[in-house]
Amino acid sequence: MEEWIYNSSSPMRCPGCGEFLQIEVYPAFFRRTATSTEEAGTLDEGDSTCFYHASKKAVLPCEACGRFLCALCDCELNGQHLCPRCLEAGQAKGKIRNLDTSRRQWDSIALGLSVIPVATLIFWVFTIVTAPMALFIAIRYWNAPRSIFHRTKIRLVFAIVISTLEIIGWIALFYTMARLPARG
Amino acid sequence: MGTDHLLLVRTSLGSEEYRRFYFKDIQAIIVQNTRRRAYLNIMFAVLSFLVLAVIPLNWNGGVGVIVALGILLLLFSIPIVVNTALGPCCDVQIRTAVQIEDIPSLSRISRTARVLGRIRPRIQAAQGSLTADETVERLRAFEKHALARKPSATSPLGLTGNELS
Repeated sequence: MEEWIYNSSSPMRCPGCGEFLQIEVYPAFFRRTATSTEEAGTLDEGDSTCFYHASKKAVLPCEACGRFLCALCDCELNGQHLCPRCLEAGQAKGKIRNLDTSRRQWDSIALGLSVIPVATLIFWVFTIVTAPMALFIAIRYWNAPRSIFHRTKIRLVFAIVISTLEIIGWIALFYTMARLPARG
Repeated sequence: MGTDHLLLVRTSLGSEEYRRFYFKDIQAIIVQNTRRRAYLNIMFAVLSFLVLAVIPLNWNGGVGVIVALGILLLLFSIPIVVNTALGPCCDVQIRTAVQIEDIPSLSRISRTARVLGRIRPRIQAAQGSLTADETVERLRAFEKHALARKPSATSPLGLTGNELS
């Protein structure tokens, strides 16, 4: 790759494929990762040691549990210094929003289960199964976290209304069939 | 975009996945123009042409058939106009120390330029910036250091020890 391609003010043509290319390089590219020996620090007599590594010098305490941490155990997130266990616990309990890596969209699933079989017309008969499923999911996960972006509960409301109507429809159908006079 | 990071959201059936790129960790952003717009235009043009070719053959088929073919022609023609109006396509990648991630939502040059205009100041505030000359200078020093430690390593500029002078 030619040198003039990096951090150029305008896109430059790639010498290989001929397409326009713009590469912005930042100082982090050249940041040297310190080795564990350098980061750990030399342990002198009287120094506090890391809770997790008795042979390493403690540099700061965990802001959640107070345990002393060496530079390797220090997990910095949102300006907070946490130990690995507190970080893991925070992620498991959903208390650290920045560690959210995925969320299931129960409102979309419930709405999809209630609407899609009807919308496709030919699969409406599956609503006998999907309508109760949609209703269950909408009620069960009413308070579950939705998208990381603000989302109202309107999808859950529609899912409940539509699936309830579908269930009522099936009950009415079975009732009508039961009331039909027997043949012969 | 968060206060200190860029959030990439991938939405699939019933779930979202989040990937965060902290501004202080972004090493490089690569924007490469592609020919996707041209290929899409060609595809829709071919489909439109096929419909156009069928219309005269069905001229006596009745108004309904003509209307249906006309609607089909519109369905294949409108995307050409929209695709052209949206501008050229591109692929964008963000590089950090541990990954090179594609950003599929930045598929148009115009949109990419707007987004980069917003995040560039944040990255520069978090880690500073480099001019083109500074970049080349540091890349050469970086390569010399890397090749001195490991002569067989692949360097970013593709240079070997013999080519560095």
